[in-house]
Amino acid sequence: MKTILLWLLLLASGVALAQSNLEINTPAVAQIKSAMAVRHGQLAPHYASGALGLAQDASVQLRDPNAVPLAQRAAVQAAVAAENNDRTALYREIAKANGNPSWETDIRSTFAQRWIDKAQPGWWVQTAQGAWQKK
Amino acid sequence: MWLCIHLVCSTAIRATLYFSKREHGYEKAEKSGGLTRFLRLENGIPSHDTANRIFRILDPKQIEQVFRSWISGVVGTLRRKRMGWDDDGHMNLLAADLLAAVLLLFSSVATAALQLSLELGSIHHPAFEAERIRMQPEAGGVLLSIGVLRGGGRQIRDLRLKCRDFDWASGNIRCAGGALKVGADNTVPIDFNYVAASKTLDLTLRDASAASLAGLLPELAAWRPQGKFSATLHLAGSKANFKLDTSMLAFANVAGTQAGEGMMLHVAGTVRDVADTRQWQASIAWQGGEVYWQPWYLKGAGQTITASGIVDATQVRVDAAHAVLPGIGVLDGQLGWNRPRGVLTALSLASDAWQVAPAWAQFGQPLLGETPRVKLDGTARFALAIDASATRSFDLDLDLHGIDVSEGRFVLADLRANVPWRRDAATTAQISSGGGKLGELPLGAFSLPLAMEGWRFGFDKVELPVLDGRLLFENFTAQREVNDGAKGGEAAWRWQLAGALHPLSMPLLSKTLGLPRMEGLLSATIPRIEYADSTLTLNGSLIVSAFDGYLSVAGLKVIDPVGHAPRVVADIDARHLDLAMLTQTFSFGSITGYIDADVRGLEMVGRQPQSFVARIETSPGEFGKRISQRAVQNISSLGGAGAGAAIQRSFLRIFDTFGYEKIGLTCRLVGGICEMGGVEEIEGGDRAGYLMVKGGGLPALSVIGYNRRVSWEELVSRLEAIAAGNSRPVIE
Repeated sequence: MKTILLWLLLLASGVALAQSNLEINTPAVAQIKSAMAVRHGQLAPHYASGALGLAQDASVQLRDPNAVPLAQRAAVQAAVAAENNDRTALYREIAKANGNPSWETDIRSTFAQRWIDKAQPGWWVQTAQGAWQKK
Repeated sequence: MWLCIHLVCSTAIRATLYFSKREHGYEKAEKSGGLTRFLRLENGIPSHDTANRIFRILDPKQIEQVFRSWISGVVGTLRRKRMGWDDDGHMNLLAADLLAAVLLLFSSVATAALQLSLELGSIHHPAFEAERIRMQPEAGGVLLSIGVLRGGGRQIRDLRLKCRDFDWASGNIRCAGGALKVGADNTVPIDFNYVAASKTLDLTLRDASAASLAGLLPELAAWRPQGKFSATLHLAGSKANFKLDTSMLAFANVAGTQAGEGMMLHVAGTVRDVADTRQWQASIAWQGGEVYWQPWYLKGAGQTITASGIVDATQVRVDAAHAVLPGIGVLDGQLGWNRPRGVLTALSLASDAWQVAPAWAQFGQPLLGETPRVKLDGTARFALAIDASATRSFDLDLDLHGIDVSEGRFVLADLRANVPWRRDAATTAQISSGGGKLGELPLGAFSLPLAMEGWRFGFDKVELPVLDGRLLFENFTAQREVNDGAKGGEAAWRWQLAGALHPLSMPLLSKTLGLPRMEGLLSATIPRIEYADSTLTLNGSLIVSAFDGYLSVAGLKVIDPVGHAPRVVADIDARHLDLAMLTQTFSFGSITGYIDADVRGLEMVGRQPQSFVARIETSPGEFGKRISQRAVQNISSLGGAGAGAAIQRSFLRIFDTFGYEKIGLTCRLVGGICEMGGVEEIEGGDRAGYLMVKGGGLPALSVIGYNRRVSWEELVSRLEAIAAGNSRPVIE
């Protein structure tokens, strides 16, 4: 529960960065955020284990699949794919909701940095050079 | 020194012979005149340990120096006499001298330490070859080295193993309590017994570390094998029996896409060479552990596979494979593979009645990922035949109690299908269901005859009962086309489908969907339905005849219909809706007259509108236009500025209804905010607004809205309050 709240805070902070310009209170954004919040409970242990990392392109990457127990590996693979689909949709929806679909790339960049800045100690994040490092 | 060299060397070779030819060995040789020609041995023949001790105290450099002059003399003699075994089975002296000298030289030069070793020659067997076999006594056993071992199409160099007990007699070799050195630090416990006359080899590996296998077979290193295994091999001439048991076997590739843990496998089989053909039979039982083979995850639960076939230079053939999957069913198959061309020539599979629920969960759902989540329950029997060119036939007998897509979003009960597909013949599949539901809409039973001819499919008409109407699908054709121009002949599906909705009563539909009761009928003609890029597109129009007018829904698309957030996109035109009926339905007060509405770019996520541009306006034409006091209050509450309160404060409160000329409202929904407007703009500086109701007749009343930006959520809550009958004017 704590991690979910933390994650929501993380999301909110990412949004807050652009709040002066970006409105996000749309049904699509709410639905995507809801799905991502539910999924975060499944992904959080794998951020902590180092199996998952936060990438420079604002996506989640399965950087060390062998760190995921075999029984969960398929589900985690699927969850990462779904998470990245939702993240892409989130950036697009926020841009659309502001009537500026062209902002999507900037919004993605903003989110990428905020995800990385707000990652918990011990999580793996990708540097600008593409290398992985533990926070 | 000369004598010493001869003596030492002869002693060395005879000591070696003692191990190998116990019955005719060293002692017998000495009786016939050997060492005793030079030495008096009061305590009998010295053991090899004694010989070793003697060698160790000699200075290897001095030995090497005198050896060079001695060997030249020996070589001269050998030119006149062949080296070999004599009739009594022991090596003649000169041969022994030379062999020992060579061994001695090798030892002294290579290691600067004196050690005994003996070349045992080679073994040539139909199944393997071992060359440069050499033995060397060591403390606690014998070190055996094999220069090259060839077998099964591979070659291993410099094998070394230490045998606690070792016999060599008449070409027979036995090693017990052996340890095969693999890699830098690992050993594999090994026993073997080779009988030369019958060409029989018995080999046992016990509790060997799987990691050590990577030392023998470098290609396994990438899989990082862990765990233990034991294996036995009985090789008799051209026939081999083998068994392999793994314990807690684990492996993983670097990418983590294929891995196993805790695997308990039992593998057994036989191989027999007949002329140029190798016949084989094997069985595998998977008794425990787990495997992830992206995207599938399987647990060992007693699955077994037995198979037999042949291998020769041209082909690999599996004549009979039989797999038993506990809890799921049985699968039989055959396979043919052309070795020179590296292509599949034939494959056939046939199942018994599989339990679909576990089979789908294990093999089907992982292919779909997280969504859509599909649940199936029932049985399925299938058969597949592939030849050198492509799939030749596919048969499916499906008997499902139910199918559930996306947690109840689409449900069918009693789904049965009989699909006898043939590549080269026309057949018909029969598919039927006892009905189900699509969202909240109940669907009736249907039956679908699907005509199939190769990769062409089609049906003329299928009727699907929906409430009191019928959903009609017709003129369906689908065709798989291979684009020859594309690399590898990429295949693409081209399909088309037309549909229609025969009239459905709106009261029943609105009740089913949990909406306020709406009168009228819903019907539709859909000339073309397409699905591509996760988008279902319905070309044509849905027509709803309601409230004495009609609604037309065009450009209807369902994006990501089975995803987390399916969205519906459409344009809606409404014409000549009877306001009296409409306001009565929604408890809005009373308004008489008719309106038109246009909703452009409507995008719905679930039941929530995401964006649209909407306009509602009084229809053109002559008809009575009256609006009740309550309706005025309600309209003003949507965005007005206290018109209702103003009425209450003025003499107008004595009138129940007012005349109007035009009613109109616009809303552009973006980012959760409705930007509102009316039929006319009202100038007035700070008091500028928009006219929502333009008065006309007696008494006339106009309603002006001043709040141009209203949160959609707030607007909806106000409408809900109106519907609940507890609205109050909003004064802002």
